[in-house]
Amino acid sequence: MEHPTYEELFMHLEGSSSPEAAKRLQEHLENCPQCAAELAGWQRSVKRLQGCEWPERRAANPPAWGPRALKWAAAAALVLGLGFGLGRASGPSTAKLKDSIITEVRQQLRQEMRAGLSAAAAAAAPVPGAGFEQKLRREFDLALAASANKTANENRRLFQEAIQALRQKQDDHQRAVLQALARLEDQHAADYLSLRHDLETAASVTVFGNPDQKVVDQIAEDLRILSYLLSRNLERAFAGDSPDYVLGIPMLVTANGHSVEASYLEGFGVVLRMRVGFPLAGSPGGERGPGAVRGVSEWDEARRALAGAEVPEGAIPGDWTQNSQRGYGFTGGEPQRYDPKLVETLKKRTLALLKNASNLRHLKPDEWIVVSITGQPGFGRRAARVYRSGGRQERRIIALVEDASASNRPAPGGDKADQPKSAGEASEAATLAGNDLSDLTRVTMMTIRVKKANADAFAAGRISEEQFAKEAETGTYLGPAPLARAIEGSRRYPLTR
Amino acid sequence: MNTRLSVIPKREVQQEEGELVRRALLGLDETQRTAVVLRFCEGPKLREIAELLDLPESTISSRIAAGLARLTRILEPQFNERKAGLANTSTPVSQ
Repeated sequence: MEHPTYEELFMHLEGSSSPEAAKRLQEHLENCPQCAAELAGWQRSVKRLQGCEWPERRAANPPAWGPRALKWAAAAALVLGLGFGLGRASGPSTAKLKDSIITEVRQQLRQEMRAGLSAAAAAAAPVPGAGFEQKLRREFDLALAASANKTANENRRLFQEAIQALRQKQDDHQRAVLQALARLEDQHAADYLSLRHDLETAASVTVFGNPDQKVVDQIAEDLRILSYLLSRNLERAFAGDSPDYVLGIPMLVTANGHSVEASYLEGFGVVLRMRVGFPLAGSPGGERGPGAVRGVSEWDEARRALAGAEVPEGAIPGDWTQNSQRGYGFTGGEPQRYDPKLVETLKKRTLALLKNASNLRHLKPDEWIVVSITGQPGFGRRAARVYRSGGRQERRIIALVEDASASNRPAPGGDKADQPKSAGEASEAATLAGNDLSDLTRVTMMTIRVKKANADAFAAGRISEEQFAKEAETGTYLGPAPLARAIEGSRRYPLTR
Repeated sequence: MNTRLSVIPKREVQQEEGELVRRALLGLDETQRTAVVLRFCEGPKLREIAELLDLPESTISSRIAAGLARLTRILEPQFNERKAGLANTSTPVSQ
């Protein structure tokens, strides 16, 4: 079965094919659902084209397609306000008048077209099709006006001109797009510069005497490389180990555009500081003896007042990881619970990465490489929220006690009345009445330090990872985050939710 | 079933559909677009368009045919999707 060509199908649609061709095609259509569907689709398209309202079309003056002379006369009358038609005109003087009118109409239309084009270009219309019909109409009118003059060449020239104008408009669109792109590029360049600035300030070198500038630069470079390795590898390592912590919660919290800050202090060694989005130490309440429990005293209140530590609306003390302003860090989500396994993994990974420290060119064998990691408060937002809503007289903290053993021993100075509602927390909750609130919102810390000599030995394979880990000193504790500072931090990074 | 359809103002629907058609026209070659718009939006006969553009009628008809085919390829899926979308929004009303 031979399908009709598009042209044949179109002639059929137009009803202008010969009777035999029409019959043949009709028969084909009855047997060929494919072609029938094509034609039906065309018919729908035609209907849609005809039903389509063109914004620029004046509905009051629908274009009446008639004999050219009439059309021209109508155009002339419309544009020039002349109340006569061509039919009435006769004789050479009328021919002259006709010519002058044609010229005038043409000029007027051209001006209109130019105005329309420049307006469209200036507006850089987001709808590319908007001006199209208007222009086509004008081209058409122009061409008509010209064809009344019966000069085919002129007709063609005008049409070419109109097409060129159309292209010009497309160029304008392209220019607008290019301009937008250029702006975007500038923005990216600025971002890149600020990132570079951050990276460059991420390494600080403190040396004494009259140091060789080259050595200082090399130390800084080495530090940057080590920071980079640490941040990239940790993020990747945790992506593999614990997908839960990667989904929505970044492993390394980025502050000021870099996640690891490195510094070198001559005579001591290298300190690498970074932040993570989970607690590094367990419940302080569970670990401290009853003797360490202090009440919230007038002294504490006064100290806070002096520090100007008013809790801003919506801010949570100690929730320093919130940094919605810059878009880094946490974006909301529950505070992480203390997970010893996760902390152990972090420790192991960090230690494994420290063999790279043997590449630090100017570090002496007896100098240290210290990694200082700051983690989320062990109690996080929950405790803070209770603190905010708590009354002055009765202030109870419902705390999550992470290690299971803590739930077996009586919580210091508390009763068991306040059980958290959620099932997962039930057995692990304890009430720490009258505990020092600032402790509960303090950040948690982990420190690791190794001697350069050990890093060298590990890198060279002289000692195993286990031995290296044994030689390393590690510790976890609560960070120095008094309430006032924590609040200051939350002011700097206002919470928006 | 289509109770919801009548709720949407007819004018709005027309405008949106017009927008689809105008966008689709931009997917055509300039020569095809000119021919298609002239024929179906302006209304002159093939012969007149041919005269106007100073081109053989066969050229005009093959341009329009190709343009129509292309336009249909662009428009059909969009209108079908639209129809499905409108039908979906109507379900809560009809339930």
